[in-house]
Amino acid sequence: MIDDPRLGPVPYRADETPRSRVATRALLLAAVVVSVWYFGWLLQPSRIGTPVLYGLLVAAELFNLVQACGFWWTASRDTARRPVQPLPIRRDVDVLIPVYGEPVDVVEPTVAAATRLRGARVHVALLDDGDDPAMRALAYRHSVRYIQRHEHAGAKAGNINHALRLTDSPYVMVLDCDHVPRPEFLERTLGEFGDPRMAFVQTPQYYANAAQGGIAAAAWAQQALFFGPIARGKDELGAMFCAGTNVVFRRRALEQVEGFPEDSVTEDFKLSIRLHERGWRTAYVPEVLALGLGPQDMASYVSQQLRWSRGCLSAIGTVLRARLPLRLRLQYLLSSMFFLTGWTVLIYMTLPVVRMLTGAQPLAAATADQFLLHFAPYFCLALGAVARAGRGRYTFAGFALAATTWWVHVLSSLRALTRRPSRFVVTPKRAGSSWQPRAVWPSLVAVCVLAGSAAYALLGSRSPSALNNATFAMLHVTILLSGAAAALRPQRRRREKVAVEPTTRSLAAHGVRAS
Amino acid sequence: MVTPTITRPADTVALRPPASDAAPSVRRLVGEQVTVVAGQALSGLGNFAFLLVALRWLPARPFASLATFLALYLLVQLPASGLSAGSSLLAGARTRRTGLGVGIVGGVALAAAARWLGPVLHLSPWLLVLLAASLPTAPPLAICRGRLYGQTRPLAVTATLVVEPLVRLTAGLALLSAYGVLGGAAGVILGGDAALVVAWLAARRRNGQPAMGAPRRLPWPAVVGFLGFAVVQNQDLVFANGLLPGRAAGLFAALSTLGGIAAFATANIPLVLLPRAGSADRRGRHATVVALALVVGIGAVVVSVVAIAPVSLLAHVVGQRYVAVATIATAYLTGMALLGVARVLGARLMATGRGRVVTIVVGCAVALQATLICLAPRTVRGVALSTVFATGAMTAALGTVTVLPRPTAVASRRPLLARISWPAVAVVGLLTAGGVWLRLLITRGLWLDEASSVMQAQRSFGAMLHSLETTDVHPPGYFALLWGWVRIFGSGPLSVRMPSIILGALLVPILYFIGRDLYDRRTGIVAALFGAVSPQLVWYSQEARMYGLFMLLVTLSVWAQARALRSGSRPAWLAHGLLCAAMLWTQYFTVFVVLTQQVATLAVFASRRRRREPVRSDLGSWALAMLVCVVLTAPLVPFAVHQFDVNQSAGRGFGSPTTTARQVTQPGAGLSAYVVLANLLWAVWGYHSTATMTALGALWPAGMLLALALLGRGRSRTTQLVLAVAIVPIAAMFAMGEQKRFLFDLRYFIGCVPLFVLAGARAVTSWSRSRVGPVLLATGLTATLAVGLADQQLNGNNPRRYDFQPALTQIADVAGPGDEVVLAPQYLHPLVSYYEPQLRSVDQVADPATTVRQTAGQVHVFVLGSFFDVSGERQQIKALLSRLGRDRALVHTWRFANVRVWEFR
Repeated sequence: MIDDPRLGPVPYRADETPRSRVATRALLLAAVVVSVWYFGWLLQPSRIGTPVLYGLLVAAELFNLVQACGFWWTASRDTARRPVQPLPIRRDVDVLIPVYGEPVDVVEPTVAAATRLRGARVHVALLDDGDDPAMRALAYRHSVRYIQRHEHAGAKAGNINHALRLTDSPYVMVLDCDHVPRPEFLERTLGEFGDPRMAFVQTPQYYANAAQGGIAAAAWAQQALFFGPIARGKDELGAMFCAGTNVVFRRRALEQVEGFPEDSVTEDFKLSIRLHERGWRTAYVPEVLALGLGPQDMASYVSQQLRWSRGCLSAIGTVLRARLPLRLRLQYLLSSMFFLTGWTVLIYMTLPVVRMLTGAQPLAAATADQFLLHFAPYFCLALGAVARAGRGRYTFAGFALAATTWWVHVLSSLRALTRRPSRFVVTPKRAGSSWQPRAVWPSLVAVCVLAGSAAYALLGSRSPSALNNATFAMLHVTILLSGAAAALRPQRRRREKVAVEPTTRSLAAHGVRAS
Repeated sequence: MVTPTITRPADTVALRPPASDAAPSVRRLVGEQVTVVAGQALSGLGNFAFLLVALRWLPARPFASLATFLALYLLVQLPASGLSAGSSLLAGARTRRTGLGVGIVGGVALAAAARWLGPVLHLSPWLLVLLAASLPTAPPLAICRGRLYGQTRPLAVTATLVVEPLVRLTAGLALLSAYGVLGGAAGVILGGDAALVVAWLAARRRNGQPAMGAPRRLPWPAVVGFLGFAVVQNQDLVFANGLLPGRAAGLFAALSTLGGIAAFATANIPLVLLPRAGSADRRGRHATVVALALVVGIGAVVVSVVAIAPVSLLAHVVGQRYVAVATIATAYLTGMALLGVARVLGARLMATGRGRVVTIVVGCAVALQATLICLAPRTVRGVALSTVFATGAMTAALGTVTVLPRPTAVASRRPLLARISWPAVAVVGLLTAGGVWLRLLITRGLWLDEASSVMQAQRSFGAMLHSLETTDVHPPGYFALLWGWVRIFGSGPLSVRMPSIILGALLVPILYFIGRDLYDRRTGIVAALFGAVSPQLVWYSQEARMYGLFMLLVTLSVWAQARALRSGSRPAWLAHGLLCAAMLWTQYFTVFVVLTQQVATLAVFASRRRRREPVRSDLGSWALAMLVCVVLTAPLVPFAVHQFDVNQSAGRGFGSPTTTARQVTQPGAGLSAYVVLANLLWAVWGYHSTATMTALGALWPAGMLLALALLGRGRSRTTQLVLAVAIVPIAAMFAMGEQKRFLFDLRYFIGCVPLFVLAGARAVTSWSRSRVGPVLLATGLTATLAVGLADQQLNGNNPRRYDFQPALTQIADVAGPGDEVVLAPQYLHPLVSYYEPQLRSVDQVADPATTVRQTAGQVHVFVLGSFFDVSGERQQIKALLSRLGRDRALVHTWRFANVRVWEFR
């Protein structure tokens, strides 16, 4: 058994902007230039090969270009945030910790740490939607309020709304039950409420178990890009949205929008839209002030991604209808439409397969040399921009994991399109089996199709064209297998999983007295 | 007041400034130096005037005799000039007596040997007797002057300097007019004696101690060191008088006289410096800086004056007869000016207890100069350039020693030995042995460029330089190395490739050391492994061209720069500067490497400054390194400019037969992404057939995977530097290639390949935290490199393989005495001269009919054709074959790798 990583030091700084802003902007500008160069070449009518395939390719490329431009725009606004003065008077803060069947050992450090928050009069409440006696005992042990409800409607949003009606502090802090706050959390965030129009202050959602590698590390690589340059840029644009945890609200703002929306699985996203619609401001403090647990197996990750993508894609309509300034509307659209990326992966995988099996190809009147000349700078600079803006925290593992779950985006968008009802599923906080092929089966099917097509093509011809398409297919195979590898390891009990029970020593070291 | 004390080993000088000696101001230091320089200038002008008059009065040969006598006079004064330097640190009556005794004995011995020495030196024995007569007075004069230097009495020193030419210009000229050369020589000696009288009287007037505490023993390193400087200054004249024919000897005497201006003007600056330079504090540094500034300033003025209009200046100063030396005058004066700098550096080192090093360096310079003069062509230019080279090397060496920190009392040998990993040493030893073995497995004969290198190296040094300047496109650095090598080891196929093999094999351990130093031991071993089997590193280590040296220098330069940036070490900065200069002397395109390195350095400084870290010290060291680089590269500039002009005016541009990725991938196309891709593939996996390259090029999506896999990889400043120096020059060459297509060629950025090897090794070892992952990755990559190497070396379809040797052997086997070989294209001459010089050959010309007429009388005509990938050449060969086919029967065709032979009867 090892100590709980959430009680250790923070090995990540979310406020590290790229060293030279000018160099970053120059890189982003260069990326724009080479994009124009590439698309100016691609969109010429003479390039059209098989029209359907060409249309698919252009659609995928244009979608990615829009996403890339959105990222460049946001990242170009990435600036170091100036610290604000703390509020002159100690305020009352309700700290709400919703739980729904999570293990006690995961929740207890969070509750214990919440009682030690400095900078305000803290009223901690454990919102138990699982009716778990162990949670009641836990609340009793730490002398915090235990709130239970008889009807469990509205999932997490309903649980918080219920608690809001029972509490009355002017500020409300929401913590997921696995996110252990640092004692200085409120000292760093409450000062932002000096602005009377400030609705909430968000902080990063850091995965303390990322250091253990595997899915959590890859998932954190994706999170690091969001809570790094993207969140800082959104903050500068006034477009930061709530991430659902590690956030402090002004009660008045919540009351004005009648609490968390209970009709969405991404209640935080929709809540942010409503607040912005009413003219409230939001802020992001790029400092890790709470340490949580990321998904530790593929099933957990897929579950989380399904919920996020389903919620965000459903919100596209809301964004389009919302009365928001163009800047905010675009930012919300970019964030919600990100979850369509899986479609582009599907298209990119399809094109070489079709080429190898049928000979049809999207581009005509273009040599590979020309394509490479126009595409390579765009590709390299786009990657370079991600690497620089993210200060190298976005890794290949994160990219491969996202690519492997392409089908999640496809499934969610189809569900959103058919308006199939969704269900709020809590992301599991414990590592499950490392052998979970079912969680990646669509990708495994894709791997078989790609590899089979490549073999078929190479058996038939060794022409440069066949080699090129087979290489493309193997590129996808490598990426998909890299992403899926974590779900395909033989079952083996991991010794490094999160401590079932935090040791007395680790809690004491964190200033928590287990009683 | 704290008195600085420098403790030194017992056999060196221990200088202790007296407690009352206040630190002299810079103004005073300058005043002392300027006074003595002015005296020296007057003296020099007087002596120069004396020589000029002699030059006008005497015919060339007698003047050469007088000038040689003067040089010998100076030579026999050499020990004295050393004593002068030594005695500026010492005042002892015993030394004076010893000096007098040695002078008398030496004089008697010389007088006795005059009869036999005269014919050897081409001098009258009476001149030698006169010389012997001057010997007894030389040591006392030097010691008395030395005392005056030691007592820091610049006016008295000036008086002794000025009286010498005064006597020569009066009594000496009178004797010259009356008795010719013998009278002039007597006048020279009288001048010296007059100076002795003045110095003795001045030294007697103050019996105090020298400004610095006197050592008990004579500082022999100073004596010997200054003796060596004097030898370097004068021995070329003696050699020239002995080796060159009469007219040339006279020319060189005139050149030496001119060069004497630069050398004599600064001769006393180090002697004034000596007593001051020993202070460990800023006094010593100030005195040195002042002396250096004066020497450099005077040297620059003298050289500039001559460089502006050498012909007219020589015509006015030494007469129309001697204007032939105008072409070499600037270079020779630069050499003499460098000698002045070397003397100051030497004085500083002597005064700070490093006299032994000075004696070694100067001794080497003396030997180098003598050797070069003997090896060089027997021309004025050959002798002069030998001196320039020797003085340049000596100055660079002394400069290096000056900026190197003094070794501490006990070297930290133990920790070093303790740090050595003997298993790693064994592995690197094995890898190096393997690398040498692979490089010795040569599977191809010399190709055109290599044969051209050998042809250049077989010329005399001066002729080679001239040929390079007028017919080649490369700087002379590598050719000078090959020239020396060929003189010693001959010009056999293995011999001429051996410098590249040695330099290329050296890369293997160097890659280990650089990898270990910049990263860790594992990286070092993997880098050495890759370096041993890398196809390109092996290929260009087997070529008698500059590319092996190019790769080594770039690697070392980046290493020195990385060390300098990391530690701020001044020796590392200096090494970087020297290596940059060496690179530029080896390959012009290294200018992109050098520029990239300097931009990277400035970026690092800017970054440190933003972080408010100190940069001033590093900035100074970097500036010094760049100064060294600029000074050492400056002589190359006129050469390069002239070479460029000649090539441009001859319509050759920088064109040369070349096979590039263009032909491999997209025939007829310009620069493209595939060209870049093909060159990068070549850089890593070597040269392969067109089919292989086409297949490899189609795998480009694997590059996307590599780019994606690099996401999130750590990148240290060192790695950024290595990658920048590897990539930016290639990008620059690509940009140039847009204008001059053939310039984008792997050969011209081959120096960047070892950096890719290093970066690859780092990527492999840092990819995974596990032990197995890097091992598997390294093994896999090594396997691909080995396959690439095998295909490159053995596959006859390699586009860079030219089998001229078997083709020419085939022709030689078949051809009869009267048969003719038509070379198509015409620039294949060096290959025929190298492999089969007995073959009669004619050049293919643009008009095939002319070629056919030239071979009309022969029974058999062979056409040796190559470079079919160059469309112009291909068409000309086709036209020639067609034309020959009309009159003759095609008997046979032989095919070799990229070479064909057609036999017509």
